[in-house]
Amino acid sequence: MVGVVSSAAGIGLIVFWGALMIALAYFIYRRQNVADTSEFVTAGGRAQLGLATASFAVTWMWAGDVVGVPEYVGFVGIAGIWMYAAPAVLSGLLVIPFALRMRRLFPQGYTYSEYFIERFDRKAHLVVILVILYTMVLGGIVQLYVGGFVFGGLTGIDPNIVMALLMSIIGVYILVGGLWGSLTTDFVQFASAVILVVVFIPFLLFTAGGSGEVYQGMVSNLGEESSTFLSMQNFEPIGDFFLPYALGLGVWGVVSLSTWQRVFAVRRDKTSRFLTVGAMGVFTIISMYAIIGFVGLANFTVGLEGDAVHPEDLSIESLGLLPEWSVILFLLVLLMVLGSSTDSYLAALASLTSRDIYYQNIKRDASDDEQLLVARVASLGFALVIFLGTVWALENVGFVTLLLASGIGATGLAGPFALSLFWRKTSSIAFVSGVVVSQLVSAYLFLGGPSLPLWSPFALWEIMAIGHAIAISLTVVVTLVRPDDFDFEEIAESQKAVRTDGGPTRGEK
Amino acid sequence: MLGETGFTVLVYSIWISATAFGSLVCYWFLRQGFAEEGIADGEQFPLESRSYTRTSLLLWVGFAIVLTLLIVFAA
Repeated sequence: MVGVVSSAAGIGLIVFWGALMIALAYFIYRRQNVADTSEFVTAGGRAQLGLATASFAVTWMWAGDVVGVPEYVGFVGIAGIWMYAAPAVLSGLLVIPFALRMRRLFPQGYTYSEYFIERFDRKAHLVVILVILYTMVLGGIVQLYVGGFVFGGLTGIDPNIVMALLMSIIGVYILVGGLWGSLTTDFVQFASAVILVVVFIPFLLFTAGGSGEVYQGMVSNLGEESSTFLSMQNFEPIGDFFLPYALGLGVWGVVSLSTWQRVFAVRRDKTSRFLTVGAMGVFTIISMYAIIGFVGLANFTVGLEGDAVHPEDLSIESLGLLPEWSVILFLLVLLMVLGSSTDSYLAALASLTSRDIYYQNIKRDASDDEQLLVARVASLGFALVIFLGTVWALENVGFVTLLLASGIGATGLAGPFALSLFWRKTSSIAFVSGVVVSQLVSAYLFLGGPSLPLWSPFALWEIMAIGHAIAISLTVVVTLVRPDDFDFEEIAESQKAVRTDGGPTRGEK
Repeated sequence: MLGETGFTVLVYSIWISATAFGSLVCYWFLRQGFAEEGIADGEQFPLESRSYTRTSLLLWVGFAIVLTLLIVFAA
């Protein structure tokens, strides 16, 4: 289904979207005076509930969902809704105790990774930086991959050109507005995406004859499999479709720097509410994408052999049922959700480079202007890195592999992070051992093969579970052998008067 | 197996939930704007109250019940 929309229309759409996003970033740059690191990295810690919730939700509404949810429906049926969406919701729930604790101990951090310097030492901080770096870069690559694949597929434009244009636009608007730019464009992206989803997907449904006809079409096409595909209790594929997602991406929010940027950006007294409403809202939007899959199941023979439509292509094939103008609207939705997630990761990477790498490890006496400059340069640098990584991934890695690989970082870090926050005896050496050994073992099992020594085949969810088990048990065991006796109030007390970098409070710039 | 009426109810419920969510967030934004104005540099908002956290957790409990009922009955 190549070239449903003309290339000229596709390019025009990207240019329109890009101009709008850059104009918005410039508007917020002027309005909020994004001229220091605090505004660029944390939006000053005073973002309102609606803005933060929209940003959190749309960051979690991955561009990959547009392909992934119908694909799940193509493999699993209606149970694909909760198998795909529940882990995203779970992630929002799990972040809450972390967020409330962090905002008590560390009221106005710049990046959550800086907490590890206060709690442990620079060695632990370095380990966290490495995990965040690759999870954020992989997250960006996943988004751009889908952008190139779907946008290129529907317009006939070379995916590399699509990706280069998208990444250039996103790099520029993050450079201008930092986190404020990300939050503001996120809100517009959120509103546009929701409006288009709640209008456009029902239009697809009615184009296909309405819910009754779609239902009958599904029953007719699926034959004997109808009873399985039309049941929320189709538990058989849970090991392939739910558990890897739940164990990896279900805790991804806990380690995602982009989530933490929003946690630190929102007013402290609204922390749990924006996470709650945002995560539940993501469930509803993801569920809307499932309707694309229902239409596909009703109109095509879906399978892995012969002329059957592969579940991975179900969304593009279903969208091909629509007239060109509505496909253009759909592509706009794709740009919105893609931009929101990718800009969040880029803003996070810019913050990480400026604060955690440059300020904390290279130049401790860096002025605020210098840190801001580094953040801005990093936003362009990482835009290039994500683009090159995606070009490589499109040729060499499958989408699902890429998606699930990004969850491995979370399996190593989430457990030890929780222990560090709630167990005063957790020591630095235990934390580092837990994270590093877990990551190495998970990567070995995930990427290795039978020719390697001691390698055994495991299902993906088993690799994720092993990663969690090693990270938590090793941290606990080493802590019992070499315990710390950390006083959490020390951080809270130091935060009352001194910022995380030991520098002046916001009023003393 | 979910019947035709159940399927239609499912589709409409998803649509209503998504629309309600989008409307709520847009309403919040229109009412509150971008940021709390007039907050002095370095000033911190208080921690959220226990009752506020409890309400959020109750929302989670409600969501879990709805999801469980969906899986139990839409089969």
